[in-house]
Amino acid sequence: MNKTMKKALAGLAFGLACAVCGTAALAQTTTALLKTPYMIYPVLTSTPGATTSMEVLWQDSGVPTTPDTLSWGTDSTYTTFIQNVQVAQYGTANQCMYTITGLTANTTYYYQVVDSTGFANKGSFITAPDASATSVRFLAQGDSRSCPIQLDALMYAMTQFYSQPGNSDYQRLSIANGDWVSSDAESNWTPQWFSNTNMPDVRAYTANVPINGIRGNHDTSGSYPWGTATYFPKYFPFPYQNTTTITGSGSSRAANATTFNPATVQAWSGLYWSFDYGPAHIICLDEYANMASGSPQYTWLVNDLQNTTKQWKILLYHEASYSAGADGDNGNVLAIEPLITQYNVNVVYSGHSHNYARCGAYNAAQANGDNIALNVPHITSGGGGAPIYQVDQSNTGSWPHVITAWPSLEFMTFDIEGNNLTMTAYQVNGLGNYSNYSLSELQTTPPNQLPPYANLSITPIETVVLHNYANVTSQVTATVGNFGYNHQTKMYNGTVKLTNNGPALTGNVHVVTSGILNLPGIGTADNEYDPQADEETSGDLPTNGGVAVTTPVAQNPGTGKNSPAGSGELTNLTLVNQTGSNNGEPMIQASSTGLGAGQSVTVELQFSNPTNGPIHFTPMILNGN
Amino acid sequence: MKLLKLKLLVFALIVFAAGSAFASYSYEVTVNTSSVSGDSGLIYMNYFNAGGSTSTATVSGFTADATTSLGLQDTGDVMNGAQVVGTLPSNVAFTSTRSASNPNNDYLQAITLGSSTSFLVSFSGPATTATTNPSAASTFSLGFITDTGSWNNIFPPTVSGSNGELFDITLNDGGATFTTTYGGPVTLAQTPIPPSALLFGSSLIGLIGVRRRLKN
Repeated sequence: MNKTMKKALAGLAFGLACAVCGTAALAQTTTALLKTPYMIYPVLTSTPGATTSMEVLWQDSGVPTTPDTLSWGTDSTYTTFIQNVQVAQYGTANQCMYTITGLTANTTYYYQVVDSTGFANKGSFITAPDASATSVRFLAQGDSRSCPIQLDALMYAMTQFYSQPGNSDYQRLSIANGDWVSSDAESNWTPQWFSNTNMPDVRAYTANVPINGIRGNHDTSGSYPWGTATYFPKYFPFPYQNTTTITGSGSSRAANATTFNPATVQAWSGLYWSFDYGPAHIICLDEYANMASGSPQYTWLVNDLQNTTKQWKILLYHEASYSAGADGDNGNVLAIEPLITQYNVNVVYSGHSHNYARCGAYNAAQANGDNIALNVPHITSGGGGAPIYQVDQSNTGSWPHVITAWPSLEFMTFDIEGNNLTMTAYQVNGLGNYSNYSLSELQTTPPNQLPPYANLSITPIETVVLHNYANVTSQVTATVGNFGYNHQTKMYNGTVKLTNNGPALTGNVHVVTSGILNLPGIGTADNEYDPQADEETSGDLPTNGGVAVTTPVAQNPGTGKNSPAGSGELTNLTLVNQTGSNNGEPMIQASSTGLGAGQSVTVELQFSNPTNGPIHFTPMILNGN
Repeated sequence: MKLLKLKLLVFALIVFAAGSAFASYSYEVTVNTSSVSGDSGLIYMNYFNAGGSTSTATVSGFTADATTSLGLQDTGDVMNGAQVVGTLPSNVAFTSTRSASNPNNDYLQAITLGSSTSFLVSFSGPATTATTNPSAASTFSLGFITDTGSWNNIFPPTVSGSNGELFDITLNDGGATFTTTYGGPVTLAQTPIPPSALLFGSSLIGLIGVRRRLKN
């Protein structure tokens, strides 16, 4: 090769390099966001100033010439900002993340990410309540995979819900119980959650509501105890507490303990963590990492439960230990049930089966030998977008301890007020035949052929109230009597006499008439909301018009999986003189002035039993205000 | 000597407890119907199982004054009548089972009231001997109604329970029994005197005798 040729080649190479650089420079100047801004609340309990932080994440479609600018403030017109910061990409996937700190607790902020095209991607958030707060509200959802139009409709409905007067508090957080996508692949994560133009409501929701959660089996490769996820931690880099990377395959798999690095896109396991939120301690377990007694996750959980001082403890894992089907219950997670009792976890929140269900047992007789924490609702809320499953309330087969269940697209609200936690499940109605559109179908559907969301409405499925009261059943004898049936009123009447055999009780004494179930507001039989009923009411938030629609519920939860004797009894009872409820069971205030040692008080019961179901009484006595 | 007294007292208490645990219960029921004499309607008996163990209530010895007359039994308006056998004035037996889909065990029969009626109701079965679950019970009650269309009570509500009954006798699985008469024209007398009470009484008498002998 002579010098001329060398010069020519060098010139060509230089030219090519310039062309590449020029192309790159051109791409940098026109980079928009591949994933629009969304938020997580990745705040560990131990982090000082935790409640005044928020983490905003997004992803560029390339490398911009100048970093994107994140601005935030309290001006709802997005005109005046407290601060503007340029955020550099991290890792190798053009991702951006910034933790805003120094905010004021319990305050609404407005933020925007201006990309290199100059476009302002806007959002808002409400900071967490102060750590000493005794009340907080937040949303909850699960199993959004595979039917993106249902997810989009759900998030439209949830946005409408928290936009209603009096509901703005719910915007501050949503907890998610897994199965975000049909499989843990970029091809699912990006269009389903971040950049499908046919799903504007998912993007709007995630820009305004931080989501904290866990992974599900569909977000996972491999299986227990070595299941891994690659893209779930990439897009939701929560502060996982004991991550590992998994090498090998099959029985030769091995785990290497590694500090989680969100910039490293690889197969992670051990994706468990916890956080405080006002009076709540929320624990996010990884059901695909070992959770057997003595495992790192189990040991971490014990330590976490021992150290939390929060009044309310909520436990998340994806596959329920007890559900109404049709997916199977998870036997591995039963190892956790004794800890639920030992450390007074208040509620278990799961998904996996695509419906709403509340399972539980109130006493050992109902548990019938099964490993289930007593008097703790085991909630399934998996109707967040995936194909809806029918429910099995028979308590005769693979799904025992079902108290109530309902198949629908649904989400939940959590509302803590001091000693009371109110959970409501809402059914989203009106999607019709659009429900089961696949992701690819949605991507190819013209926007004008999408369902009219104006027809969407929500109906409460059920409201469950938990009380952080002392259970004094062991010291109070509940004697029933004088029961009979009034043919004139079609009502049953009776009494429960409470006798205090222990030390004096002060304050309110409640009798929970476990065994009489009352579920007003359950959805209509055809699983569709009747808009006519709403028009008859206030016209604000759609409701069922306050009509107590009766639905069969499992009257005798708590038989063994393969022991149907005595189970499967469905009935429909309505208590007339209840003053509240506990864990879905009607509750009557027996005394507001306490119950002295040796003293008795008699409570009258009046209830209807239109289906003539068997009646059982196993009262539980609570003490607290 | 104090030790002896203590031993006797303990013995009496043990006998009493044992007697209670294994006793069956009977009540002599007397209803003064003079205030509604001449009224016609239906006598209504109900043995209601509120989650209790299976037990039996048997009504026997039904008597009434000469102006009281019984008519035909009404089997068409009862709930769970399959568990009720017999016709007044002969014995009527109610079998109350927890597994029944309906906790009611009704008995109805036409009646023209005179000045009084009386009968014996006896309870037997596990509900009278179990000792573990006071939150499960069976309740026997009696009422008088004008007809099964309105289910209006012949007696005013001021002397009736919430179900229109004149009295309730409740047998708890905890082994206890209690009665409620709502201030009405009803007399309930447990009969005969429970053997446990007899034993307890005789023990006390014996104890008093011992004490007197020692004094002398």
